[in-house]
Amino acid sequence: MKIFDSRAWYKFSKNPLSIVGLLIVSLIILMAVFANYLTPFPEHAGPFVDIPNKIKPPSSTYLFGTDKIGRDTFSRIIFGYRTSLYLGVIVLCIAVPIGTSLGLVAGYFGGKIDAIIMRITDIFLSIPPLVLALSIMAFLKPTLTNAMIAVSMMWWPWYTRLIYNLTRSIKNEGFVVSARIVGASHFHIIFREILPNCSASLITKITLDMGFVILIGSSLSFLGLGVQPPTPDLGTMVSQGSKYLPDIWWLSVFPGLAILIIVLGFNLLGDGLKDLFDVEL
Amino acid sequence: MNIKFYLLQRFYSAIIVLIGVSILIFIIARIIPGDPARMALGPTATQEMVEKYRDKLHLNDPIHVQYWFFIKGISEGDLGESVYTKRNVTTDVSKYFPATLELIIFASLIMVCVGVPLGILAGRFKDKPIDNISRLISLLGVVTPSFVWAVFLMIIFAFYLDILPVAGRLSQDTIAPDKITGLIIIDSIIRGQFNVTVDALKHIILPALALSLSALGQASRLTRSNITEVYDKQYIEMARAYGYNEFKIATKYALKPAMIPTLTILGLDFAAMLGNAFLVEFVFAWPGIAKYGVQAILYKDLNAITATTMIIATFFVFTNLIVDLIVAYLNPKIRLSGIQ
Amino acid sequence: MKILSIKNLEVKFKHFEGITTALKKISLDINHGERVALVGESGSGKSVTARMILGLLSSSNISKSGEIFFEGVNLLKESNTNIKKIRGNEISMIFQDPVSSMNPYFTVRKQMQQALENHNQTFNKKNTEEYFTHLLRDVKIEDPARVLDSYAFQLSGGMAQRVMISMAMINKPKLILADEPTTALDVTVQKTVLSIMKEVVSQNKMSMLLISHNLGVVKEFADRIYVIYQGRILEEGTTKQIFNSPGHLYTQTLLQAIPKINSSRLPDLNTENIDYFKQPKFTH
Repeated sequence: MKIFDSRAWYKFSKNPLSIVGLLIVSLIILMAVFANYLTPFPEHAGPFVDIPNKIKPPSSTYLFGTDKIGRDTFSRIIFGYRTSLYLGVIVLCIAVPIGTSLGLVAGYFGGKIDAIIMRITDIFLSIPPLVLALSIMAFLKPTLTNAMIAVSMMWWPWYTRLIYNLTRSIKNEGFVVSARIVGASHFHIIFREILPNCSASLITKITLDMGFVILIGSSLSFLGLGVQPPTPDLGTMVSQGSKYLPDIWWLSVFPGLAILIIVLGFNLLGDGLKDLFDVEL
Repeated sequence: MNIKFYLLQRFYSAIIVLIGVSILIFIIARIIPGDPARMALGPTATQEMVEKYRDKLHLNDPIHVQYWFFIKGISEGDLGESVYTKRNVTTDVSKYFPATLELIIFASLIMVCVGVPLGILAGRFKDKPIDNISRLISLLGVVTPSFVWAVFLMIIFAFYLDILPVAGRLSQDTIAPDKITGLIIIDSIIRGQFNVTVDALKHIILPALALSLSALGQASRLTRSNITEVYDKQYIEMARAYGYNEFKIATKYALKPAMIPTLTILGLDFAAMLGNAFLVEFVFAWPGIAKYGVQAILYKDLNAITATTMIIATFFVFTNLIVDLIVAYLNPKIRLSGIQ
Repeated sequence: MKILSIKNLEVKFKHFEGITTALKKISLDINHGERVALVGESGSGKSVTARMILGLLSSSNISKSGEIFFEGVNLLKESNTNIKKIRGNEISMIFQDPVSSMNPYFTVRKQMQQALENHNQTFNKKNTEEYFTHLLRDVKIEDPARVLDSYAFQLSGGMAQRVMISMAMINKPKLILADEPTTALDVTVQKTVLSIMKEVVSQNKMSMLLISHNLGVVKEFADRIYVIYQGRILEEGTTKQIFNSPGHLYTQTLLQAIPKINSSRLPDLNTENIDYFKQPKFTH
């Protein structure tokens, strides 16, 4: 099942914005993974104090300036990307399998199972996303793990709905009907006939969602309900930096821009994939 | 199937969903490990005090009894007592809700009045400069969290240009008009206190803008894609073949088919803004229900959190229902046959 | 007297893989009160021809040369404003899929009112109701009041196409262009619609350009036929001439392809043999 071949690549590259997205995402991932080697001050990402150098505006040494205890903002942003990417990957690793399985089962078997699963999905979707995550986080200790659980809990219904709609339309296609006539097991049909035909939509949605999960995650930590200091996190940095506006502007502006860029990257990449695969999400 | 049946079906769905939501919120609040009473009273409270409080919150009763008290409370309008403010949660919520309502109404106005025309222009003049500019703005709106926008806007307008205030609904020495609707802008216009109106407007514009930008981007993109889709349809070529001029096509002929699918999403966005309001209210110190909610979360105020979530969810469900009904009315296919 | 005269029309489309010549210097005439058919297979350029007459293909990737004379005026050189005055007014068009041709959110009455309004500044809502009813009865619609209140999705294909025909007549045009008007309809309905079209056109002394790929349909309907293939007119003549003594090889093959009770298989078109089609235009 080849999704990417040279023709697809050619078509993808025709849209300059998609290439930009791909570059941004690749660059950020690279920087985050090799943060220890690429940042000027890797140790600033942990417990580190350097009072003499505190609150320095952007300069050639400290590209984005330093904060109240002398930590380099630029290095912390790169490490913050690590946290963001980690959050995105884990959340999607939880939400996507759960949501997809539920959608497949509901769409394929129909009847009571369909009704129950989709009702529950509707209920989850009836609460605005951030509100649901917040109310879950309200009762948990604010840690990265808990934030991941909260966001996964609000994220899976979107996949259920997408896969449910896809399954319902695919299950009446010729190749599925013929598989059933031949006597293929339910398991085979769901995972070998239906699911592969959802892959284009899934990949596109996952790419777009990486950006949005990071966005929600940063919103949670902005409110103080996510990662706790001293772990660098973009949302927390904006929140803490905002207290010192407007004079010490670099503490909130640069992390804010950093969030913008990573979400933008995933969004451009996802849009490019969407045009390439010609899917409706 | 006719329209009445469809309406009843939707209403019935909405009620079921709300019941489900109440159960969900209830479960979240009760099942998650940790003792809400202890969390609320803090580590300094004695075990005795905690136990007393647990009894008060019915936390020691079996779960269906707790749920019964919860539902009973809602039907009587009593949402419990807030640990933090020591007031009835209902009073608190009714005090703060209008502020948030005003904010999201304003933000939605911006979303519709700026986002939709932008999308129409982009779709109509596809691939020309206006399309690219509009798409850029939409994209930036969608990818930037509202709190980042809030910070940027604050820096530019409140600090750098110093033309707009930083926080609150009104300046410190301005007094709000006596409450008619609770929406200060409307109330002050009704009472003729136009200086208050101006002050309120100055205060609302930045938070509303920050709140609307994300939804604006989405609205613009959606409108654009719907308009492009409509322009490819046969009936547009037909209109041209009958001598309609382009302006007439854009405003009368193509608009309705394009807008009806957009309307559903716009309605969803209006309700979803309630979620995003949390961040904006926090940054701009806007005294709304979201800020109250965040406070409740930080203080582990069980009743307040449950109540706030429940109210927001109800608002969301009913807004969706109303939007569905409006769309059903406007779309002749649904109106006449009840099929979707 | 000719009502429409296309002379040496050449249309080229530019796209990223190169340039395609859709129409290679074709010429076509329609006399007053005549029913002319333009017959060809998909991609032959027949739809492009119709749309060029009304200027419906406005795009920067098109280059055109030649002339289209309508009552002596060259439509290709006319301003946009003047063309709009002609559309739906002196020249009307009927499209292939009648249900898609209507705005799904407008009733039939509204569509007809719009068509009238575009070209008549003064119109009175009371007389128009009578007029519309009259037009609908002309196309054999038995219940005009109900149809006027209907939306596109409530009409069957045949009914919708009859509505389109009556709408085309609203401003009493001199020429009607019909682009495959019966292709989307059932065979039995086709016959009805065709005969209605024929009656309406001849009663009102209008001229018509019928575009089709179906020679069977054309035989019942047209006075004269032009055969088009890959942007070139290969043959022209009266219906009788074309059917009884087809001149060009392509026309002969087309006629052989019409399904008959005793036919064996589809004839082969030897498209690799270019000389086959470089045969000059055959005029009867």
